Amino acid sequence: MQLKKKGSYKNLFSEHAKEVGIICITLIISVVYGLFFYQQNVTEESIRNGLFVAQRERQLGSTEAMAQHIGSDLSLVASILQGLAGSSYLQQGELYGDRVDKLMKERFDQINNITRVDGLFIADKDDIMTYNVVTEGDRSFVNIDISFRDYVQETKKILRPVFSEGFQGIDGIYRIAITFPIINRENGQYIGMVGVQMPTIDFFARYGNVYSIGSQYLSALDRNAVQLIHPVKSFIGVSFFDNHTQEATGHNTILNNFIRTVMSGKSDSAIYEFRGVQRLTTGYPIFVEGKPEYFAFIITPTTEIYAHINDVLFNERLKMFTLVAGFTVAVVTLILFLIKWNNMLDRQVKRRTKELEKSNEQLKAHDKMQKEFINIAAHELRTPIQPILSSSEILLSKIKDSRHHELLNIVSRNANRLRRLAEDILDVSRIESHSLSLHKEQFNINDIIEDVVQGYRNQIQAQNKVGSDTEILFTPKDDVIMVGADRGRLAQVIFNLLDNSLKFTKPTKEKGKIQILSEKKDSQVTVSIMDTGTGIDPEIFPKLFSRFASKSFSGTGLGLFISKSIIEEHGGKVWAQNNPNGGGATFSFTIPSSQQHLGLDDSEGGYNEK
Amino acid sequence: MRNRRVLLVDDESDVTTVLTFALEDYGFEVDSYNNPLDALSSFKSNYYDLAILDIKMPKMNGFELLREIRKDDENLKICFLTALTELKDHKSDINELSPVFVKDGIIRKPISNKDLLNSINKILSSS
Repeated sequence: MQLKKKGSYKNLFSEHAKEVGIICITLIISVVYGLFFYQQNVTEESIRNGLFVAQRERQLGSTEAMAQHIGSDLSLVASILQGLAGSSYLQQGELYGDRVDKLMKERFDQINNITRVDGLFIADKDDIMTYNVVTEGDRSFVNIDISFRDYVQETKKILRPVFSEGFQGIDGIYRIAITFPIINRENGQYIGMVGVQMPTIDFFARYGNVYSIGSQYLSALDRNAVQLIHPVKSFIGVSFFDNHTQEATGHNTILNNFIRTVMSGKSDSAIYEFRGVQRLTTGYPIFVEGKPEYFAFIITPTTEIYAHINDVLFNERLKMFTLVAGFTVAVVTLILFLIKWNNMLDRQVKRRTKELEKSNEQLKAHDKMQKEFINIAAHELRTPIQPILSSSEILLSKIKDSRHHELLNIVSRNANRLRRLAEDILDVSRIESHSLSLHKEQFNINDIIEDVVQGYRNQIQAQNKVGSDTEILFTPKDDVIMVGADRGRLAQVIFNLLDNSLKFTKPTKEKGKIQILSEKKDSQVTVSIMDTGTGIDPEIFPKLFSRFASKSFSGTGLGLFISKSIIEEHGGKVWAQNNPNGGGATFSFTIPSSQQHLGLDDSEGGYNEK
Repeated sequence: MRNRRVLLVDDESDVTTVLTFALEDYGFEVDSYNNPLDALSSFKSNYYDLAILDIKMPKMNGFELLREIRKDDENLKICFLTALTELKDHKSDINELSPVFVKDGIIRKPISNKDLLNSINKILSSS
């Protein structure tokens, strides 16, 4: 019962092992994927941030490079103007005429190779324009007073080159001007100035997009924060801090602080929103001759940056997902394989169990058939002995002729022998098929010994066997020795041992003597049967208790084997030895004695029938 | 004293023949049958002191025969004479019998005539 229960628990466990395993694997995979995607998100976020920072740095760099480029271009233009101011014609006050025209045109082309200017002019000391090269089709302003222009006044005042603030021409185009004073090298007198005017849009367009607000574009401020260039036309010529611009940018403190930082001469960056689009702006002062004259900005909508970043991330993700997909496929394949393998093993185990069950059933059926056969054989063996025994018994009482009598005795004796042989063979069959069943009860073993000895004495005297004069002595040491044993089987053992002793006592010339002792010691009963015969032949000694070891004239050759099996079934043992003084042998057996004198419950004490 | 009348039923005719001789020698009147059905009809028209029945017989076994006998006579003394050792197949039949009967009333073949006589006398003298 206990075992069966244990088994069913085990079954229960193994039945659910598969489910538990699958749940565990699913959990582990979920956790791994969870961690993985979390890590992936974190990684993406940091990649995004990293890329954004890199983009900002790159944009700062390119803003600086652009500012330097513009600065050097402006210096170059200024140096050409310086060259003109120092030319011999202008030094000598020759501010117009053919020679000047030729020189100026050369220089105009030269400057236009550097950057787009739409006018190269000379003004005299009274601010009257004496000469003006313009792009073909443009209006020339010779002989016009240009003193109203701030840069003209400034040039005269500081007598140094001027990089002007933005101004609007009468044609409406917004420009900046670069001027260089013409000062007599010998007397230091102010002669006039040379200068260029350049449209800001044309000028800055050389360095980047100045038209479209939808993508990255350029913007520039002059020293007064006036916007020289902007895709939004209305901003051009307006100060950044003017109401118009401020309203349009939503009075953005971050943006305003950023503009102030750049205008103080440092590079900076900021993120702000303008017209519903988030933008990254980077600014750098344009230094000319070491002075910040203008301020350049690159503005990029962040969507554009992120679009770039997303491309990078997409590639990263693609790699990652390939990895995940590969991993998943591998795990799923593994699980499927394991399940399939498990099922295959299951099927194999089931098949083998079935086979075992089948062969077990076959064995059981075979065993049952065997037992049935033994029982039928027993019946069929005994049945014909009955009429032989009965007939010879009747005839023995009727026939007086001694020769006939002797013949009938032979028939009778052999019928008896056949009967014993049948019983013994059946007992051996039972022993070998482990179906020798004991019906245990409590009794005094001395009573049984006494009964068997008495019966045996009567039998040998009645049959007038050879050795029937043998003295059989039974001397119990204790009056009562209780055992829990099968009464009939124990009697059979004692009878067999006694019969065996008598056989081996037979050939001596003196009157034989068999002595039986019973003794209780340490909860064991020992019964010894000592004879004065020839002793046991050393040749058969080793196989004394096996079948047909000591075949005699009257015995079956199975008695000792059966006796040994019966004693062992009782939990005891049986042995034999030749007596030390050289006369005969002693056969002994022990079985456990029982402590109580009261009867045991039969059903409990008996070996169950098989 | 009149002779005791015995009904002997065994499918082996050698057994019935020899045992009839033996029991007649001991002073019994014996009717023996090898067919239980013949025995049953004889039982219905005769008086017996004892029935000795084999167990393993074709057509009708000893217990079935006993059941038929008991329908008419609840007091007839009975003993079984069998060569079977294993009576497991007849467990339910045996359970219907009294333990005393099982101990003394089931006699094992082969048995000497003398021992058979002793057993029969024991049964006849029991109340």
